[in-house]
Amino acid sequence: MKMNKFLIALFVLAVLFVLSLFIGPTSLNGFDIIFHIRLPRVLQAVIAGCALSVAGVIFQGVLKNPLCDPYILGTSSGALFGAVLAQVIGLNQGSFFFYILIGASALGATLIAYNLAKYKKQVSNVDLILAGVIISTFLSALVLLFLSLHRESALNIVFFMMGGLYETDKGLLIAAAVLVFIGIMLALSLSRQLDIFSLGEEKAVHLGINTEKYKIIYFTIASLITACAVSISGTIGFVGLVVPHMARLIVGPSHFRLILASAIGGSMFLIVTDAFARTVIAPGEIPVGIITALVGAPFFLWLLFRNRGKIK
Amino acid sequence: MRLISIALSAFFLFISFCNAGVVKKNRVVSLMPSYTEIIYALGAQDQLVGVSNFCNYPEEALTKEKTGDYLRPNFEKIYSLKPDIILAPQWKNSIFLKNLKSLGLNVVQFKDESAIKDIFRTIGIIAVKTNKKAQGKALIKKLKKRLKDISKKRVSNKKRPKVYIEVDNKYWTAGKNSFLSDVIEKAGGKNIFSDIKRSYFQTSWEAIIERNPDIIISLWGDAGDYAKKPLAEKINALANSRIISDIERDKIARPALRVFDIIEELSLKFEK
Repeated sequence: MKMNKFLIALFVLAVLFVLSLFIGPTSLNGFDIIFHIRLPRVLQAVIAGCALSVAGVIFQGVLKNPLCDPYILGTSSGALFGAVLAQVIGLNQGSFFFYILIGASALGATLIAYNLAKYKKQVSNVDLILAGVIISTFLSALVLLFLSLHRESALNIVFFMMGGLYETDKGLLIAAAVLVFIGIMLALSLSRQLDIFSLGEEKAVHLGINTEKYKIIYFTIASLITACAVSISGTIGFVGLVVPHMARLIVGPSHFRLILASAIGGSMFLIVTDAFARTVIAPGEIPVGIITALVGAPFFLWLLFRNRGKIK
Repeated sequence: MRLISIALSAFFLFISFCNAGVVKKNRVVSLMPSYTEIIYALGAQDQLVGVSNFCNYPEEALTKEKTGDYLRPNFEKIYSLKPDIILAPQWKNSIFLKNLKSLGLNVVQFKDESAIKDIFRTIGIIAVKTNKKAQGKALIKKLKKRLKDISKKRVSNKKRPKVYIEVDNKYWTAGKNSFLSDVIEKAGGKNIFSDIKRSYFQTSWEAIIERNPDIIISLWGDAGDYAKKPLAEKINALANSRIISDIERDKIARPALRVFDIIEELSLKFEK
């Protein structure tokens, strides 16, 4: 096992974590600022980064499709729709039910997409992605409809869509951390089955795996941790798509290692991009979701071109 | 042939001018709430045939024909009102102006107001376009005197409080080039972000703590929203509970007349 690779990665993560605590929009570096303002925010980056990347790994693994991430399958749009729905029925951002609603609609959207794609007890991947895109588009249209009718609350939703790490409730942060941790542990413990899944569903069935059951389990885990990430950071794009691919280029296709590497890589990616987002135009700030896409896309392309031909 | 047509058109032009002077009233469409308020203040409301969907003050403006808003003007509606003048903001990178002009409509565009003094410019232009020059002059004079009176009352108190204004949730605030920054300065406060040469921008809680405002003006939240933020007690405004959250957005954000009431109100609150 190349476990030392992970130790190095963990060490780098720790260094980035500490470094980013000392970077901020102000020159203040007092204990208070670091402990009360930057620490929760860096933790938020870690949690959201882990969650989105691992969700990406799961979706890509189960569906054997490299283009899958929580955005393409409708999970994130579901979460976003939940946030808008909360606005409509007058739930406060920050209340407990607000997050329940987000979680439920994230899972709901994914399951609807899944069931739409199901035909004769079989789910073809192409159908699933099509269904996901359609659910996604439909929910986005509903969100936009709401925006065009209620301009007063439009800004709130737009910020949510841009994705950013802002001060959140400490209780929420802890709850999200616990849920994401459980989700990742579950995913790790089921990683063997995920490996078999990536041989192809037919082979998986022949190897004695109840694929339908596992699909539901994986989707639930992935939707749950996506909802956690969306609750604390809005919809941050690109992490769930790019990080698993980078991880695959580095640690290979084994899902146990892939999940670990993506969790670490996703955290690092968000820590760095958020440090950038909050300092580059200080005292102004850029929503981190914009940076992840701006930085992630070219970096992804570079990795892809460099490894062209080496990896299928 | 050309001579005839020129003569004819000159003749018709002459006729139409005569008519305008006698029976035809100027027909004005206002696409911004601030222009509508100014038109009423000048007493030119009888010329106003259409307003934007946002024009809700004075209340009578609600009875005028709605023509969409400045982001999505309803061209068909505007055209059907046969306006002589359309008062519009400057649309950046938009084809609206071209569209309206291609319908043969006369559009008067105003630069965005980025300071109180720009209101006087707007009033001046509207006064000319609605033939209310004298009223316009009087109104500008009155408002300028009011500003002076407000600042006179303050002379004794030299200390200007540091003010943070939050326009929207997630730390959207006003930089030096914004209208609201000037509102704060005119009320005798000092915008904590007056060194940032931008209009409205997003800042961070950490930057607010560093700049430590004496007063927070929030256009969206209340004191409770700020008290629960980390290290809130470190900020003077929160330590002394000086959060102003009861200001109506329409009144302070529209570069029209009610903002002068707000300046006076803020000036009193700043002095406390």
